[in-house]
Amino acid sequence: MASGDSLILFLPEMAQLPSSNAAAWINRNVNSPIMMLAFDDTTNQSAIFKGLMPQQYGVQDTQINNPTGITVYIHFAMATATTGDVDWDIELERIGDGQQDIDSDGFAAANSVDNNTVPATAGHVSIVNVTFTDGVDMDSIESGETFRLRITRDASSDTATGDAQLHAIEIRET
Amino acid sequence: MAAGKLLIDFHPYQGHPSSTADAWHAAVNKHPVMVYPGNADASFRFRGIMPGNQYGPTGVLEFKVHYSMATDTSGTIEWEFQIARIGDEILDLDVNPSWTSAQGVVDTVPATAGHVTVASLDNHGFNNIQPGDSFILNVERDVSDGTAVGDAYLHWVEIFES
Repeated sequence: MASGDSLILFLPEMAQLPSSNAAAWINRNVNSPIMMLAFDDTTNQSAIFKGLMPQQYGVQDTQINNPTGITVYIHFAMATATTGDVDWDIELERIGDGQQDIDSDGFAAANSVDNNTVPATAGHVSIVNVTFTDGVDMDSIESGETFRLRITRDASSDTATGDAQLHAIEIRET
Repeated sequence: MAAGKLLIDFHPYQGHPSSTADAWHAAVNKHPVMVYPGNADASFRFRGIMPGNQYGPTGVLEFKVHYSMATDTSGTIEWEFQIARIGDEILDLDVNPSWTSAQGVVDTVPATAGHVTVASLDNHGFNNIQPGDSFILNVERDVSDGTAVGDAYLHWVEIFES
């Protein structure tokens, strides 16, 4: 797949929530409801998405398998804040074929995108991104393998007040 | 991306209601569907992200809806489409979206009630949606412009670049 091509889309309604410190599903805009995931401004909260890396990941042509990594695009809006910044952490866990005992967690170290200035309008969606190099940095996830992505708002270090609401996540080939 | 290529597709469980006059989820012989009644207009919405490199944009989109009828074996049905860009600090989520004008396709229903057929609408405006932008698609059945009287079942929606 060529650099910049979309691989996977995650929407809030596809999330699995951890048993503690979980983001919360909410509907925004009563007249035209849009499901979001709300992340608190005082406690680091998370949500988890499960996906399958497409077979096309890393395939540049029919002979060469040359993955370079992925870029995770985070679409978010603020509940009320119009100043300050938000920090996001992304962790990846390879499930694969006989790679991960799913009775326990095996997330690789987080990659972060920090100090994202919130939009001046609370209802605007901002798009920020963080990259992962192919290999250990993305827990060695390969094409055709299932994986999990955990997104966490690092509320302990960011400055925007009120909930940050996740609108969507897009993964592209870097 | 070349014209005619699939950009994104939606199945019934990916949609969300519009808060008024909504279609609803059901299972027909274990097939997930959205039910659009025959006695009143109803709509349902889908959110997606326009693919990165794969989308031109060329300025026009083609929508395809895969549907079947509960009981009708004759008559017509109209499906209408509208699309709104959310984008990167473009749409305020707290206000109603800025939709494209509704455009519809009138399709003759299948002669067998359980058969799934595909209705398509080409040359729909793209509302300046850029690669990587999130967007909302509204799919509505306009009962006043069709003659079929029973429920319609939506099975799948596809968006192509024209």
